[in-house]
Amino acid sequence: MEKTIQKLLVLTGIFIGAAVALTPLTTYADSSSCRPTGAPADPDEVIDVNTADYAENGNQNNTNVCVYVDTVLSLDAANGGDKITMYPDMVRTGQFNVQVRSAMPYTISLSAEEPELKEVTTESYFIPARSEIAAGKVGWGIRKASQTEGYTAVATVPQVFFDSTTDDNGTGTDVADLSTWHAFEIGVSVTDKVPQGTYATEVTVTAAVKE
Amino acid sequence: MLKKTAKILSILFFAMTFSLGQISPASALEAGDIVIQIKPADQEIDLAPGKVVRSSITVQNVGRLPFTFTVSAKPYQVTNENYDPDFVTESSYTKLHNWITFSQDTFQLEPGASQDVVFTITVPDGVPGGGQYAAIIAETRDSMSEDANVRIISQLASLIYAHVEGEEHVGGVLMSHSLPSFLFGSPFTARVTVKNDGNVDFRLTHKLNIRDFFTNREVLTETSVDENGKFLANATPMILPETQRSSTITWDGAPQLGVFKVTQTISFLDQTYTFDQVVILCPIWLAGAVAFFVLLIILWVILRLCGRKRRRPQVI
Repeated sequence: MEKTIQKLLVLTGIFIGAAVALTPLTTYADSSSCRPTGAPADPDEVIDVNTADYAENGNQNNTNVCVYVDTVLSLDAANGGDKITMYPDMVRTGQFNVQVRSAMPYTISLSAEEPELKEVTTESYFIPARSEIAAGKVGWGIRKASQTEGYTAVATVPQVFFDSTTDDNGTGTDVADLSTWHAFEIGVSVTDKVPQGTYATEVTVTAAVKE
Repeated sequence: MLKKTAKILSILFFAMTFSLGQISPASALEAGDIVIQIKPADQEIDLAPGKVVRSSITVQNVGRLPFTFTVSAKPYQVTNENYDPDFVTESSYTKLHNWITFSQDTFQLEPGASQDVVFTITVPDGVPGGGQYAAIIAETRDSMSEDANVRIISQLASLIYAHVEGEEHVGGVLMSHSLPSFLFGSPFTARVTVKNDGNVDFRLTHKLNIRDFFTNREVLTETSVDENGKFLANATPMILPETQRSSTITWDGAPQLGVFKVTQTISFLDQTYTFDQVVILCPIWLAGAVAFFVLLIILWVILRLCGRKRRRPQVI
């Protein structure tokens, strides 16, 4: 028994030693002495290498050149907006895509003045916005980036559907790439009591930086 | 002659049919068609009661098609600790949008063109000092695809952090902070929550300094950056009045194994807090193997002691 434990001790020791040796250890990050992202701009911080002072003082070897870049936010939300063909007692899905370009963290909020999908010709029938989209029920919703299942009912008040500080981007690319496409899934379910026709609504996509 | 005319007519008919077939209906919008851009995405403005201040934002068309956009001012505040924006609810800190006027609120932009949108802030007399917050919203409805079920209206918000001269109450409280001590494979995250109990915003500075426990070499500092130039261990979030906000720094490139000395520095207003912690990183399977190893040693020692006892001569 004692010998068996001795053998086990040696084997476990070798295993731990090998594991420690093979485990990747620390890497050291690059450094910069510029202002951190989000810190207020200081005009004095911009150093122009073409100025006379710069040349005369001979600071070429030790001056750190920092350039202030203005905060820019862009939105491309025209892509997508599928036409979804619906069948009774089935959950059908579509999607629309939004691209936001920002060097700062940002949020994408969605809202609708009229959250229900309305029959476009008569405007007499509608599919209500719901968070619970299931076969046999009438409703539609959009999945938030943080949701793995289910949907969220779009409301008249903007709600955050994507937050770059907490959610992975929609395309599954590197999170560090702050210029990304976000695909928002739309889920719709109807019953055979919903009259035939085209149902639509207008959804407002609002992008804003998060200081 | 009739035959010839009929032949020419039929050729013309087919040619027409073919060419009509080639004309597609108004094609749906594609990625890059309608792209709206604003700068700055946020700005700080100093105001005084009874004074008029002018400022501007620039809206650019960086897409392929022209579009029409409108501008408006809306209240801006946050709804929770995660700072989800709220452009609807009004409070004593969101009166600013009522003071903003535009000389023109509808513009047409060609691809590649930009438009400066000037707005005037007329501060009423007798308004209390402190922070006032609003958003300039640039909106285009040209991004709507008519044949889609969900038609998208594009909006960009340019945030305005204004400070009205007067009686300012500046105050903040450190609500909580956290640094890990043992991590078995979970992400290395340092967190701080600060409450602003004043009437004007301030910035929180949250920094991490991580050194190797054995060599004392710096692994991650406040100046460490990723490949995009983004600071990895330095966050400076804005904290709005009467709200509390959490700041989280996650060390994404943390090794699986190591012992580190971590210093968390939290500063806001005139307060600075420094917390030191030794952090041990170890994968769960290795921790299990070490525990098993220790258990074996204990068992081995017990067995050896028992064996010695048995071998000892018995005294009768």
